[in-house]
Amino acid sequence: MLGRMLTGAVSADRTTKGFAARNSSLWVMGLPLVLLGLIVLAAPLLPLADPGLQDLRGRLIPPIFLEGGTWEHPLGTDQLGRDLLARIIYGGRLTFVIAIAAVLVGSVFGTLLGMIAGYRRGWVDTVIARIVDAQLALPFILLAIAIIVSRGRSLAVLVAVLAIISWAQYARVIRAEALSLRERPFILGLRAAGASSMRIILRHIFPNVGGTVLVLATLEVGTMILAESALSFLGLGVVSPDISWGGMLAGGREFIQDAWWVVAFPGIAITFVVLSINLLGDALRARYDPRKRTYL
Amino acid sequence: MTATEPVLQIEDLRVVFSERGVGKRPDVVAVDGVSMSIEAGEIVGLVGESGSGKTTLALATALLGRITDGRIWLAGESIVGISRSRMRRLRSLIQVVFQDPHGSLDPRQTVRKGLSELRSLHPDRTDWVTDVDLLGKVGLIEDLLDHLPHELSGGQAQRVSIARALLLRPSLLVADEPTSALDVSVQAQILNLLLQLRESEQIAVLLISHDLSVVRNLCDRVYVMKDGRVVEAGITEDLLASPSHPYTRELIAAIPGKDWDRSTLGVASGQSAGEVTR
Amino acid sequence: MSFVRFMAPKLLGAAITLLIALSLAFFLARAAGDPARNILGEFATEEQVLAKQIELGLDKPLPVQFVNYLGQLGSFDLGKSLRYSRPNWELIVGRFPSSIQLTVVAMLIATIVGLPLGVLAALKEGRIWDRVSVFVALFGQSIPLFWLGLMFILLFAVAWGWLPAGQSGTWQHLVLPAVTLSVLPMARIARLARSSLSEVLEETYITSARARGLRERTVVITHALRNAALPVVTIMGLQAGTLLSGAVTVEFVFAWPGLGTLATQAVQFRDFSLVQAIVIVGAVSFVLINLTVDLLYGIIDPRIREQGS
Repeated sequence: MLGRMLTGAVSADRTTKGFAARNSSLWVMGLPLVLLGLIVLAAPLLPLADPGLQDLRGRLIPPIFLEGGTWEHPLGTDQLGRDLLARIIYGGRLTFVIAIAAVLVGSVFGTLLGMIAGYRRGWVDTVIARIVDAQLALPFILLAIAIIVSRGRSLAVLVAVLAIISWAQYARVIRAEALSLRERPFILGLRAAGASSMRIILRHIFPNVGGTVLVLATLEVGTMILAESALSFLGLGVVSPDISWGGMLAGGREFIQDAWWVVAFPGIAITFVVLSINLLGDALRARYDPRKRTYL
Repeated sequence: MTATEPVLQIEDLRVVFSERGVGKRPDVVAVDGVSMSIEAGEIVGLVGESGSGKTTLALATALLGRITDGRIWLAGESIVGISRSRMRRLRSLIQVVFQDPHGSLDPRQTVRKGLSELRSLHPDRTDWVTDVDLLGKVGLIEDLLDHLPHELSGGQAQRVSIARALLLRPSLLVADEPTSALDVSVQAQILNLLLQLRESEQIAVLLISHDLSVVRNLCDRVYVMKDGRVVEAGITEDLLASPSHPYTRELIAAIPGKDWDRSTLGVASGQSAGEVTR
Repeated sequence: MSFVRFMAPKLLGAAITLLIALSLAFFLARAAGDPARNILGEFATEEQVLAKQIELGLDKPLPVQFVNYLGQLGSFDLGKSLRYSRPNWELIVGRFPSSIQLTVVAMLIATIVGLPLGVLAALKEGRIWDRVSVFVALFGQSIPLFWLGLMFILLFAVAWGWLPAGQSGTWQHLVLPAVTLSVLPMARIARLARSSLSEVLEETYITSARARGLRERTVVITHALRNAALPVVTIMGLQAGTLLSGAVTVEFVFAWPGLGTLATQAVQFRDFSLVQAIVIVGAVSFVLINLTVDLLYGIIDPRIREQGS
């Protein structure tokens, strides 16, 4: 039941003519992300305040462009007097690490299971496809809440939860690709030549779905950042003293009336990064999916 | 190989596609009790219009498709109940050339890499020829070895497919509409190549086609298929001269004006098959 | 007859999907964790943990727990809340009206804005309107909704005082959460409407309708829109299914008394039983909404019934 609906949804999504694809090259789309990545990586080398340093006399100092702002804290300080700019940059590190780790785990499992299901067909496929449908029917944030409530909170659990949320996406899309690949003559020819299923899946199916995996994984980094921020916002993800953008939003929420900047800046960071990732994903889709280029 | 055993013998083969579960559609009988045998070095035609079960039968003979019922012998050995590894080995006695030349090659693999993969699968069976000589046999030059499939023309890609099949020294080559995706001028070259390979490599060919004129010029014997059954079979010339089944007569009547025979294909003088295409 | 044949496998499929989903929820939440320990916190003694485990039935082997869990589901028993000492079902049903109200209004806004946006983009493909709407849609998919909600509160409640910041009661209370929640489905609907309509517009029957001299407006309204509608309806169903439970963070921001807020409260009190009950209800409603959409297809478009699964 869900199978058809979901495939319909994805095929439509893929045929969306990429805004990015038509307008700019991959580099232009990737550049902001690369710059941001470099800044975040080089954070300890930059002249930044200690992101964890509290200063109760300097609480909720406004950003530089408002009255009362100082160059000491260009984006102001939060409710405990910690420097927001430093926290956003350091928070970006954990946010990226979590999202990328989750994408790696989810994409490896999802891609492998999708290829096996699509290539082997039969009962293996039936079982995997059913689990994918079921996984997609579970409301993600509630499932995450249930897992975290019973398992306790830790970074490992957070990454695992995010990976569990995302694997089905890869499995579904890659299964469909493997299903069509397995009927292609070159795969039949390899079977006739006596190549094993393992060899065909790893050496021939995988390289041919690699582009799709890359596009999906790119887009999924954005989704994971959003999911992580939502969980941390609810107090279920990253908590103090660790810093992530979602966690910053959770802490600043109560002070929104007096100090809007405490919640505004982390949210702008999330939106900017996820939007850049989505634009890059669109551009990649056009690049790595030449068969569908005409539709993109 | 001794010529006493048929290369391939199938008896009463049935292929049925059925759905399971509630609300399923009725079963489709794609191949309905077909028997056929192919001797070493023979070129056998299988004709019928699309939907007649030709391709399903082709895949089944190459042990690539579903088989619902029936018996199959490869070089005299029954394939029922044999081990997986033995099966894989036996299966490589039959190689397939498909209709879509570009679809027959992994788009991410150069010609050379593809050949070396086959060599690693069957080191003992593939050491008889170098890559360069192999390409020579199908009329290609070695420059193409490092090309990716999309850099090849349709005819070149089809020659590469044939070379890949040849590398494993199969005793039977199943060619499923090998020319229908190609330009007319290239079609003749590929058919010529098949004829020539039969002479030089002693390979039997099962040529599947909807085009009776192609079959007439190449095949020693012909099977005519309709709705999953073989309706008529026999020596090509006899069958064409006195068809007994009305369906065969229809097919013959549909042969277009292009009147090839073996001399125009140039097999006698043997020139065009070895022609280098670039 | 043919409708029954169309429906039966879909019902069966939905039931299987649901069963697997509920089993997944069980194993993911329990297989390696110790809910009792988590409920009591790290300072609890071993005896207290053991007592809690017995109370919750967590001392039994996992398969036995699983059978009990399925048995409870089979008798429509969602268990009792640890915090409120009331049946979970009662607590959940109490929140339904608010959640459904929010979902319905958000979907309406999403459709009313998203659909024309997508159609406009498809009709003016490649022009400035198209780019604007595609960018807006992409933006809607990139923004964290709870943060957008916070920004709305900041502007409309704190700075300008036009609308209330939280709670519920009047229609004014509904505006901000519903608009916030509508952004993601709006973006999805717009994107999908655009791509499916521009695909249909390239079909030959559209070209031939144009060739017959029909006015462009007639072509679009009578032929194109109708054929482009199907995938759009699908995505609407999917989005509605996820909204009901996906509103957790937005409800939290606006203190909207729906299922999502109930879930976040349950988390605060480590009310493991209530969280599990909400997950179950969320999965059931998702599957039911999608099943309904699926069946509606069969009624609306007889061709789909013919094609079968």
